Amino acid sequence: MENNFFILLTAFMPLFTALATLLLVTYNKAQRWVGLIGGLLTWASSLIVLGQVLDIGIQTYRMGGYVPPYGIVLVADNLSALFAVMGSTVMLAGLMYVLQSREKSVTYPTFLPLFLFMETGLLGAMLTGDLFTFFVFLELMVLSSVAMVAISDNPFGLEAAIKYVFISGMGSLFLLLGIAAMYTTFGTLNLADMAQQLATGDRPLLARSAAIMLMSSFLLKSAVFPFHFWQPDFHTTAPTAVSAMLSSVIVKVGIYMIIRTLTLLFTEEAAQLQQLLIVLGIVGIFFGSLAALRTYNGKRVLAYSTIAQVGFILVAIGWGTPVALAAAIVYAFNHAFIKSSLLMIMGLVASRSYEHSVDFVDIEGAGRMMPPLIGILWFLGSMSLAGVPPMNGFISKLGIVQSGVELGQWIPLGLAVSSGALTLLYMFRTWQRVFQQKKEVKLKILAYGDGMIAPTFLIAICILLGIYARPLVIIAEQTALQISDPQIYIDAVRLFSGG
Amino acid sequence: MDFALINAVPFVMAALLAIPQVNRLLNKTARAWLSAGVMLALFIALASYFPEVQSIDQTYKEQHGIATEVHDDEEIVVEENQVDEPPSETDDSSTIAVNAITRDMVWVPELGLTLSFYLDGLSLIFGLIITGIGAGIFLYAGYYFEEEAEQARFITILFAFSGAMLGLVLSGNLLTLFIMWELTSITSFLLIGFKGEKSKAARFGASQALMITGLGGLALIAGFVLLATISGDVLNSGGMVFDMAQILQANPSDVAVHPLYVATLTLLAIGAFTKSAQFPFHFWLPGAMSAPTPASAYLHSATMVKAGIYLLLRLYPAMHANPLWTTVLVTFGIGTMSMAAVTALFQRDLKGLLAYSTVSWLGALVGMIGLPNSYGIKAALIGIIAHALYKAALFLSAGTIDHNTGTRIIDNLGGLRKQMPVIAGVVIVSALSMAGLPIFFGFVAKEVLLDAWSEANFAGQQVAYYAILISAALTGTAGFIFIWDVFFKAPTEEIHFHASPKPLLIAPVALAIGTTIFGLMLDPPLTIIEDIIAVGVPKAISLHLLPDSITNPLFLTSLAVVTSGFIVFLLRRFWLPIMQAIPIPRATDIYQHIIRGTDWIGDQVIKTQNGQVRYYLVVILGTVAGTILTTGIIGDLARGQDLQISMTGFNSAAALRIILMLLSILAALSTVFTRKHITAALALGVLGYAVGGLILVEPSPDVSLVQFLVETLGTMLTIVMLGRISEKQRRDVMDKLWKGRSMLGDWNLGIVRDILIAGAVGLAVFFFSLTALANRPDRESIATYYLQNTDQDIGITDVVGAIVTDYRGMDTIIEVMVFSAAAMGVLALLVRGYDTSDSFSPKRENIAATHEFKEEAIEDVKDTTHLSTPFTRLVARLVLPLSLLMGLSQIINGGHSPGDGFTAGAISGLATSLWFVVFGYNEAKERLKLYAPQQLMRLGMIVVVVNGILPILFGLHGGAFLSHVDYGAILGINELLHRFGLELTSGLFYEIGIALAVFGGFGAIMEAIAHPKEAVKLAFDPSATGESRSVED
Repeated sequence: MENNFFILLTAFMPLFTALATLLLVTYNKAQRWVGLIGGLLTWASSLIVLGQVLDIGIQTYRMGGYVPPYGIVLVADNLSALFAVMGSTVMLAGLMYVLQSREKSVTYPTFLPLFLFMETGLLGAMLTGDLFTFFVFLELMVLSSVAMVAISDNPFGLEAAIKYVFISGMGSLFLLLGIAAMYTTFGTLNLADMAQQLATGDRPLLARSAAIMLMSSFLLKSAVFPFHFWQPDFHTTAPTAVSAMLSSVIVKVGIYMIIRTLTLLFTEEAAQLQQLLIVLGIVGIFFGSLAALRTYNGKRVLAYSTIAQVGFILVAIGWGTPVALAAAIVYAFNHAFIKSSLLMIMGLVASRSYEHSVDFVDIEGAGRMMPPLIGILWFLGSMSLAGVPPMNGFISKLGIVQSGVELGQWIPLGLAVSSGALTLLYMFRTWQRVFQQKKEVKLKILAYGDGMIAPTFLIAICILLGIYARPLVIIAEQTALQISDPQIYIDAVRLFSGG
Repeated sequence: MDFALINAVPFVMAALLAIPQVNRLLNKTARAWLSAGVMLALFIALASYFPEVQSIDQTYKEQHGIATEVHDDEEIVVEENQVDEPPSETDDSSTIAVNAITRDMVWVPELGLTLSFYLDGLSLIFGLIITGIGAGIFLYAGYYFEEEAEQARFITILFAFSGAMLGLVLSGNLLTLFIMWELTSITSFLLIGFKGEKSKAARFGASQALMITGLGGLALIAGFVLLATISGDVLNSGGMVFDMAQILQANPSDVAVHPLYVATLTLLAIGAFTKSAQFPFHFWLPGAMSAPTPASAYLHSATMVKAGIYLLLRLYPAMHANPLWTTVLVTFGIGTMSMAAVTALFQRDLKGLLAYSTVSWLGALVGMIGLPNSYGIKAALIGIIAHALYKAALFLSAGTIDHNTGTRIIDNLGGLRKQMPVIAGVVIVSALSMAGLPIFFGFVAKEVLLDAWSEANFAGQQVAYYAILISAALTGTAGFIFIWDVFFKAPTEEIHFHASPKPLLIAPVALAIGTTIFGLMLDPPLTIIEDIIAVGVPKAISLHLLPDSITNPLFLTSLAVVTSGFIVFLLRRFWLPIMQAIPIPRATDIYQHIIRGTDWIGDQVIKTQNGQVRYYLVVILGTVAGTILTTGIIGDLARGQDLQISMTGFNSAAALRIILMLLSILAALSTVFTRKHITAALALGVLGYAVGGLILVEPSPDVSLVQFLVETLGTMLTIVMLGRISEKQRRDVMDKLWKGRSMLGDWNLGIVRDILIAGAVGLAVFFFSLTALANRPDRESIATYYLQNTDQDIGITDVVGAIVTDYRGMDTIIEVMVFSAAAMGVLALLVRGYDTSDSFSPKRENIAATHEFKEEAIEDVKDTTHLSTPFTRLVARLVLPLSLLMGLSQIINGGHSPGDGFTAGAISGLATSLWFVVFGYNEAKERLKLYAPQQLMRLGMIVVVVNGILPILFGLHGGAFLSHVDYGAILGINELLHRFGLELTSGLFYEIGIALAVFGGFGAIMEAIAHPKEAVKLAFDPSATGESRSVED
């Protein structure tokens, strides 16, 4: 079959669901349930796509039946299918969280449509084979997340959103300039088409500048140092369900595109860019970890930690061999689950704290008075983030160490590995602060709060991916091999070839 | 029971007990005895493997020509002849390759991760210690805690820890070992910090232990991967080898000369040293004494601190051939031993004294493993067993003393022999064993220790030997202090004594019995202990409790050491005050300084998050512009051949372009330099119009029309919103911005910086465009295809329209959603301002203190001004129907002329908003009863999407999403339609949907601006916000 229907469904099911929830604006509970069902369908569909891609190779969907490069084509190769599964699974957990959330912002009639728009943007951006369509999906994702952060219960959400609009606008400008440059140069917007022309080895003018522009915008969207400034505010003031998505899967869109463009398009420029990525990655690791040590709020710890974790992924991408790319993919995949669960757990604490905040002044010692499951989940999540076995974070760390040793990249490896001590420090310090110690002052907490299903689900996945890590590792290795040869992707898209 | 299953039992127990429902089935006593019973059963199960391990070991040794029997008088000779026995050369297939029982379970082979188990003599000895001593500890722990909840929680964690510890010594794969290693770190963190709820010291001790062992874990994983690389190279397996059995087969002399050896040894040593509390990482162990006593006794005598020792012993066969092995291990071992032996003497806390004497002994063990030619292995194994027995007993006794008297400070204790006769007996036996008095097992340990060090041959052996002698003597002193000061010395103050439950005594007594009889089991008739140790040593051994003659020099030395220890003890009133007066920097203080230093760096780092967008933008723009200018663009431009600037062909269009450009520059500058917000907004609009004009000249009417409309919408919204912010606030903001910045005077640094950044960005974009111009492709672009095929593919002549609705229809769908999302967001935001029924106020002062949020959003609302005059009313009435008609015509003719659904929606939206301005909210609402913007927006979105789905549902035109469908042709009414110049295609529905969405979205925003309170009612179902929160006291 020419068109794989499930690709379309994966990208557009959230959109259809969003419209359904728009029809139900006066029934908030129904909206949430419909959203969850839509999330489930999307999830199932993304799994089917991944299965098919692994079974029979790269799948495509031609919009309107037009042949690429003249029409838009959705492409699911191993990389995009795997990232789509990551995205849809975490978003499903997000919808579960929404279902049980007591936040006021979630009751706004436009919240669920926006949440689902964000999912469409996320999955579409990962599945599209067209550079401009990527931009459009990205904008949908960004704008809906901005809207949700702006209406967050946290009064600083609005401020964070405004700041992000400025900075993200700058990123979009870079992206547009890059796309314009690519179009001027190659007369096409289709990734495979560009790749084919670049594969001839001929480097037209602007290709390098375009690469820098595109890379800058991807780095900005993934909040990489020094493009990260907006991230801690934006990720922590969002409604919990949203912040759990932002810091886990939404930042991965940039990562995805970095991997995609480096392996598919800029294979010649890669060496130079990868050196840069390693440096930025290492700086980011230390910046994020050190800042996470000293911030004043539980969610901000996690947001800064994301800067550090993305740094690890960048270092692995920077190493660039198939083994290292596989490690980067595994790391990105695992981190999505770890970070989203941790943010949700902080959300559980926030929803039960009297001030509805996770500022340490408000929640020191409060965790003890809450259901013990919350503390246990946080402990497991911390273990995973710090790369302690048997959690999935260990598998990620192991992959990084192995690829680093194999390449003999001693200095970056040494720095990256030793920063693990900082992760231990900030995560378990937070655990002691919130969940272990007992405050002398009498603390007031609320008896009820957000439901625990979603974070439990995610932590269970973290454990599963740690104990039964084999499938992911195998897929990641296959993926790394597949993307190492751009011709596979180009052939699969079957561009118009005369006649 | 298979030993792989044995390993699983403690984990299963922990998992079961972690379930409250299961835990509740047991009462306190049952839990204590059950857990001790489980550990004892595991001990017996493991012990049942002994015959098998022993026979494998014997076969192995025979096949490798290692004598299994030695005659007493030959022992020393034999040892000297046993030089470096490389375990095997794999080419001989008849030999047993592995000196162990192994079990493998595939886990993640791609990462070299196999869940494999490996049981040889060494593992067995450690396994027996863990389970045997564990049984006693569990029983003790069962009675130690008074609160049942605490006891249950402690036993659960302790099971998890024992499982990890067992796994560590039984694992047959470096990575499995590492996993267990990390699990011991994590579970010990919980055990050490068990009392962390109230005790800050416990929290600190736990986190310090976790940090140090965690750091070691990081080094260890790197070291393991390096070791796997080395093994892979040495064994020619073409990859990393993590399997223990294979690693141990690698020829040690090959390993020793591998270029990665030094790095590997360093990392592994850091791993082992952190875990086994070697200098300079030793301080976590005394710091961890805030743990409950059973935890201290278990972790710090028999298990966790022995993990590093186990690791070194385990890797000895593979790693020992490089002389660096000896140098590193002996240096750190001896150093740690001497330092701790001295420090132990002036500890006033009983557990502190025991902790430092443990550190000292661990140092001795590390040193012994470092001795060349396996000299120290036998001594190390005996030492490990002896130490586990007496130290666990001493810790438990200290715990019981603490339990009964409420204090562990030596100065406050005394004369307890009457109240606690049993414990006194236990302590005397154990402490004398520690001091190395015959007939206790510790005596044997000390003797083989001295033997090993006196015989070993390496540089600095003399120094090491004397250090050993002195430390051994001081260890004895510590033992005497414990005995005398606690049980015999007269108490300085009255001690409040309350007796402990009897079962607390069982474990210490059992351990003391072990200490007494183990030495006897070296000689016939019962040689069990000797046999067990024999399988752990890679060569033949012979052990006896007592020397063959009184004049044996070793025996005499040993006695002399004990005696001098006793003399030092007697003289302590002379040296103790002096020692206590010497200020010695404590390692834990240094650790705290490092942590504080790290925190300080963190504080500095976080200051870069100063909350100012302009600073953020400066950094981002500066980085990108700098990168572009320095690496990319200039070189590209230099390569460009075609760039020619010529002024020929100057005509009116060119003149118009120049004028428009100048206009846009002027407008841009005036947005910067004007002090009035409204003027700036208008100038921004002018800039947009100028750009639109430039596009129009190109000529590109479609795009320029959109540009004009977007600029109009944008400017209008800006001005309307500005009207809602009080003038005073706006003036304040401007004053702040312009303070000290008159246009010509006061050139401060800020302005220079801004100009530099803006200049760099401008330059980058300028060069970018210039390069783009020089780069007009001669290759065919997809635009050519569109120009040629639009009419044939889609049947319309407007190429832009075709691209928007068909070729790239998906982009359009998503853009519609983006627009709607923005509208929904703005709507919700505007509406929310009035819906603050149960919002909470954050503690601003807390947040302000961190400097991360500096700027505050300004929110102050002013009533809209009314511009209602008869003339404006007339205009408004005329404009609305006209613009609706215009929109309709643009939709219908979208395929053939400029304008499309977007422009239609925007024009209609503008006209409607004019009504809101002119008539005011209420009147406009009344006059436009059918006008429901939010519903229109939803309808538009649904039309757009349904139009995309229809081809799939009905399998039209290939059945792809967003296929072009000519409904007119399907229905057979095209002739009729064409007569009126109409078409009924999917493109038309598309344009309608877009128009509705834009019209509705814009209208919704305008409505909310005009009257937010009413919009609240429209946007919300009141029942949705009625959730109640209840509060707990």
